[in-house]
Amino acid sequence: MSDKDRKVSDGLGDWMRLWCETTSRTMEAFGSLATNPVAPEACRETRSRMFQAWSDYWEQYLRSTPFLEAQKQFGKAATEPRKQIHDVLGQFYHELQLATAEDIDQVMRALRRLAEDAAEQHEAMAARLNEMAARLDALAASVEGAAQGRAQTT
Amino acid sequence: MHGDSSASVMPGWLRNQEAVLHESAASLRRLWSLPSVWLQKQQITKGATPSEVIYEEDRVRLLHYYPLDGAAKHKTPLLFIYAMVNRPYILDILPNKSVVEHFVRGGFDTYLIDWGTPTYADRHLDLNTYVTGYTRHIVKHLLARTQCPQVNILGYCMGGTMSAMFTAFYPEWVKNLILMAAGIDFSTREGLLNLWNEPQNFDVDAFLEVNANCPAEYLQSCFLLLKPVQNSIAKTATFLDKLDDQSFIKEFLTMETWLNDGVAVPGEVFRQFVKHLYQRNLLVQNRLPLGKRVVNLKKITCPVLNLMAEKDDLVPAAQSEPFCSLVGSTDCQAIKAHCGHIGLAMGSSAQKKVWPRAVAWLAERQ
Repeated sequence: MSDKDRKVSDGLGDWMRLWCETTSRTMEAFGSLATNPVAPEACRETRSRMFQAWSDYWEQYLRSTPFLEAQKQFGKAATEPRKQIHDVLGQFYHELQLATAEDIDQVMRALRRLAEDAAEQHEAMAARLNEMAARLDALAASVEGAAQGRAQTT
Repeated sequence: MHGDSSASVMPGWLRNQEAVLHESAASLRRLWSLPSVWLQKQQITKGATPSEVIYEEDRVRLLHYYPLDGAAKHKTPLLFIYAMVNRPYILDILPNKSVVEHFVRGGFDTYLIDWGTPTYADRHLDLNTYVTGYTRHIVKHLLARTQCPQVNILGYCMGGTMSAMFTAFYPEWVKNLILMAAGIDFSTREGLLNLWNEPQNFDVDAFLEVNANCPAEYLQSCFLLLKPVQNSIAKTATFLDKLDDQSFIKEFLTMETWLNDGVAVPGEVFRQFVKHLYQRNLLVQNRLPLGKRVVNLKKITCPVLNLMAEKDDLVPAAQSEPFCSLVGSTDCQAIKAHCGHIGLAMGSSAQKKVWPRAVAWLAERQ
């Protein structure tokens, strides 16, 4: 038996155990009806115990290997045919020299890179300009100070 | 016949029969009100507190909530950053069940980001665009508008994660940070979403190759599957049981409207969220790349309030809990509420116990 088969059979065993447990809990929930078969409160209690049993079942089942495996297969089955259609249509479009979504994606990525680079350069330039402005201000202040000093001495 | 003394002498079978008759009559009465539910559904409004749009960029809008007494008591604006899943009016869903209202009443100048509904053309927008693009532009706009050097930020769910990223990038702009059921440490396997998004279980690249954006229906079915019995059968049973309870029906219909008002998540954002957070857990390792920079949570030094929900099946508390130990803040407080993910926003218990404390916490730090 291969590892995959063992995993599947273990998963099935776990699922069977889980299912049996849930069924027996559901049956137990009807126990409250034994004393009072038609009382609405007893029916409500039975209902809530039944929901709890099912809820616990789903909580465990949704974590189990069979579910995760089924989910993966379902995902594959849902995407694969659409991917094939996209590929075929893409080829067809290219034959007609038309742009596909993939081409647009490429252009968008290139544009985004360009925009990011431009923004970065812009920011760097702004920072340099700010720095130059600050230095010019400092220079102007020192020139002014020197001029005032010179005026006072004369 | 209905008195206590007569009931005690009544045989069991007769008592049961009477109870069944009562129950049948009550059920019929409840079912009779079913058509009016449709009318009530038409009157559901989205958002309770009056607001206006003050900034728009592409599909993103910034809402400003009108202060109650003319002017806000606290000068520093409070910015709500909501998730990109579903619509943001869950934070302001009904009068007296609104997080926004708590802060507006508390005297805060309150704003909320509505990310809008992405289309096929938005599939390239990534987390960097939203965090260092839209959010940064909005914060700059707010700073200019209010003449304040900083803003307070409150992020919910995925918006909380994005708020943490933003604060790590621009700590000088954030005065206080409140996270509300925000996913930070994705290593836990407590939540089903963490398990389903493991690399061996979910191929996000293949998924987005055919879907471009992550469809709202896909997300909705995932959320429904988290608690299938409660979210479908038990909910319907409770609805039918309480058909004659007007306030319950109003809340129920408002919630259902919000739950079914899903929006798609831009493809690149979804890919980054699944790959970098759910699968590689890069945020807590200070290795999450956004554009050409990396998010370092240690750079968050402002006061932090971390709100979590004990019964959260979407973002388990274990996913938000480590935040205080990851940031550089010395003032970091955590509150764990006994409710679920949505209950934290609109549940009665959170409205009474959590939000007054959160408002007081923020007011103390103004």
